[in-house]
Amino acid sequence: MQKLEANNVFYKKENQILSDFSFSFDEHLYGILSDQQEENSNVLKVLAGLREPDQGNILLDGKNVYTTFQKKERAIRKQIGFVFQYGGLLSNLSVLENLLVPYDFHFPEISLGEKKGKISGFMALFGLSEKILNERPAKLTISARKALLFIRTYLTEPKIIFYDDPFINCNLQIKKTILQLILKLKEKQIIQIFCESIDEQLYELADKVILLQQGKLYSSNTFKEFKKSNSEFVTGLISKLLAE
Amino acid sequence: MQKISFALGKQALLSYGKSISVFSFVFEIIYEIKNFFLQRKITRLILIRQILFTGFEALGLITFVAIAVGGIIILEGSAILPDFGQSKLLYTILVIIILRELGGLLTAFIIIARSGTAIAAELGNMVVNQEVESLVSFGISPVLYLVVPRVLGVVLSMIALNIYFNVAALAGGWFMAYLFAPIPLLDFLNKLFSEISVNDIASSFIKSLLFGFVIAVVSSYQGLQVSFASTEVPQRTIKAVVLSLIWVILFDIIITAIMYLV
Amino acid sequence: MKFKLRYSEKIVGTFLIVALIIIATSTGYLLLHNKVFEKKFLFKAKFGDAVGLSSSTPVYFKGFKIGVITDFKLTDDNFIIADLKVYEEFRKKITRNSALFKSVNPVTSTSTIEFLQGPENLSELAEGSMIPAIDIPEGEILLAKNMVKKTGDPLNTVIYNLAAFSENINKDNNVDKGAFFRALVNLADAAEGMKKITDNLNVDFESISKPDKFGKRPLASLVVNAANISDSLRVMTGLVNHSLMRLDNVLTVYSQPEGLAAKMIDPDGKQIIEPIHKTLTNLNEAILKLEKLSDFLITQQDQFIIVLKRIVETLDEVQVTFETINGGPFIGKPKSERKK
Repeated sequence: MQKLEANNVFYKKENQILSDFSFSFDEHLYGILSDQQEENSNVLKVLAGLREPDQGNILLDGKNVYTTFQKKERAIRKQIGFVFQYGGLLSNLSVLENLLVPYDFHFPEISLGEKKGKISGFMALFGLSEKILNERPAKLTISARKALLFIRTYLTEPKIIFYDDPFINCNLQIKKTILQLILKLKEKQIIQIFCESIDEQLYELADKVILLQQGKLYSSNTFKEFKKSNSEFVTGLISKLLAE
Repeated sequence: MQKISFALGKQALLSYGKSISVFSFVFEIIYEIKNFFLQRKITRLILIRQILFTGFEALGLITFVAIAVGGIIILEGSAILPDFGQSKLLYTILVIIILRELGGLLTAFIIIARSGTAIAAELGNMVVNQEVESLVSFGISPVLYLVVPRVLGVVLSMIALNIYFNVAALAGGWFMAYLFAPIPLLDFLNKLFSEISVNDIASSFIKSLLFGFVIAVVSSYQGLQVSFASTEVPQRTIKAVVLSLIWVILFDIIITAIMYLV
Repeated sequence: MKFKLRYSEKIVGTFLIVALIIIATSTGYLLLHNKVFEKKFLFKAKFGDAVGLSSSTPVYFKGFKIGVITDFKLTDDNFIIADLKVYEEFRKKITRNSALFKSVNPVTSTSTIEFLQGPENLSELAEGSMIPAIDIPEGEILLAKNMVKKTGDPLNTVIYNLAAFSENINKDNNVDKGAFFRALVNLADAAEGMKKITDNLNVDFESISKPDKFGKRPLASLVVNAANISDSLRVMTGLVNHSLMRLDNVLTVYSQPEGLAAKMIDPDGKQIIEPIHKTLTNLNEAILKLEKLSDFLITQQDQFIIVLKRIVETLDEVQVTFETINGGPFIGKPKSERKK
């Protein structure tokens, strides 16, 4: 039973991005909806252990994500996957090398052949040609790059996956594949947390949607329930999402 | 101590926009060098490419500059020194200027111009492109994966290039001397080696080691200081060049003072 | 670019290995060249000062590096005692009564230390013994006794020799300088004594060689021996004059900076230092002979004159006899007339 807990988290850059945020994530699909849409990435990154909060802590199965002990950190990171909104592929490595970076790091014991086999499977799933494996990311289409970010994350089979605007820059085929995979992982009881700014579809599939108001937890419920809500704040957020 | 330093550097890299202490950065680099050899599988490739780019590809330029400088020293020297009956000082001057000073400095300058800028710009763009963060998300220390191979690569390249520079400059000196008065190569080498002390070689080695380290650390540090906008990249690159130059010259003075005055 | 990437490992490997080989070879060669692995013999060196000394100052002998100064410190009596490590192959060159010559290059301020070997027939110096530099009293004695000779960097040697010369010329405990002034004093004495002898002889000769009434010098043949003496005296005077001239030349050379400058390039001091030494030696020898001769002449002078006077008296008597014979009315004039 995996569990990610945020306890009284404060995080501030220009704005207060998270303010006294406490929540417990268990093995479901969560969507986060905030009135500061441009800060969605930062919210996810704080939860994923990429931005240390000013106050409070993030615990994964009771262990602090922001550890300073390398071995513990490595064990924690192995369980967390983060799909970036853009970029994130090392530009001076080939696609194959890029995919192998976290895979080799976390699974040095698996043979290269086996790894390549798994990579080929994912490439086929996303409809990508294996020819691009030896190319640099800069040569690929934007949607292919986006697909690679997913493949790279799925390869290491993390227990928690964060998606930062998963559908941005995706072509339809890839979007379809991603949806399928997310649903499949939902059944496998993997903790999945996402922010999405252009598509309400994923929020509808989410087990729970978390509403943030100026960084504070406003409410959490299913998207269907929120749609029924009379609250001005909630309808405002949802209409903004639908308008995209 | 190691844990503290690691924590400092780590925190520094995670807290974008907040100022990173150079000292904790250096501490972390030194700490991660140990891990580098444990994580050869993923870092080796970067190290080799760094050496290929910083070292091997600069070889032509270094050789050209070195031969020219060596020749010029002999040219200038043989115009003046024989008038004093001090022709044998040519070798002393060649050794002092090239082995002790110019070799290291010129190599460092060339590396700053070629690789210091490249490292700062590349790392800056990697920050902008979220590549650094993706490494953090894997649990791979950016210092271990990005900085350490660059530091090791630049240090190794610097040492090797300095050796090539010295050899080429002395060869250039010999060639120029040969044009004036044919000296057999063996005679030249013999006279040269009687002017070289182990101290000279040691100082040359220590200098190239430190210069390489300083250039790589300063450039990486500046590159990683970029927070999100690509407009910061050129600014940081300029800073990397200026600070590298200043630190290299400061270290040069310090090492020379320690080696030859104390 | 693709080619480079594919072979990057090999290229980088070669790049690093060649550099490694170069540095290893040159370091190895340097260590051999500096004889780091060779057996070394430790001696002590003593200098007047530590100017230009460093912890690896090489010591040369006839252009070969025979050893190195490794460490040095100031002693209580303000000398510098240094460790001198001599390489095995040159161990035999370190004989007794050897010295060291430290000169500081005016351009680089680095010092050159030259080993000055003692007389060849002397035995090897025991390990750990002290070798003096020639700028301290022990070394100066060796130099003065001609046990060692200075050579070295032309510029340094000339400068050093000039300095040493001008310094020593005013120093009383220096053998060369003594000789120089003794020679001058002796020369003056000798010249004076000689003048006396000549004067006396002149008087004597005058008194005995008055022409007779026939305008002849009837005694001339009898003074042949005396003439011989005066001849040898003239030769001696010539020798003295010659020596004086050479001395004069040397002094002229030293008094004319241009003439000296022209000779400054002389690396061995053969044109300046050796001639002056030779001249002084010659002068000494000549004066000693002269002194002996004049002493002898002075002691013999009285007897000589007595003999001559007796000869004169005898001759006078002979003359009287002749006059008597000649004074006959048919032979010559009366005695009183002849004596005018």
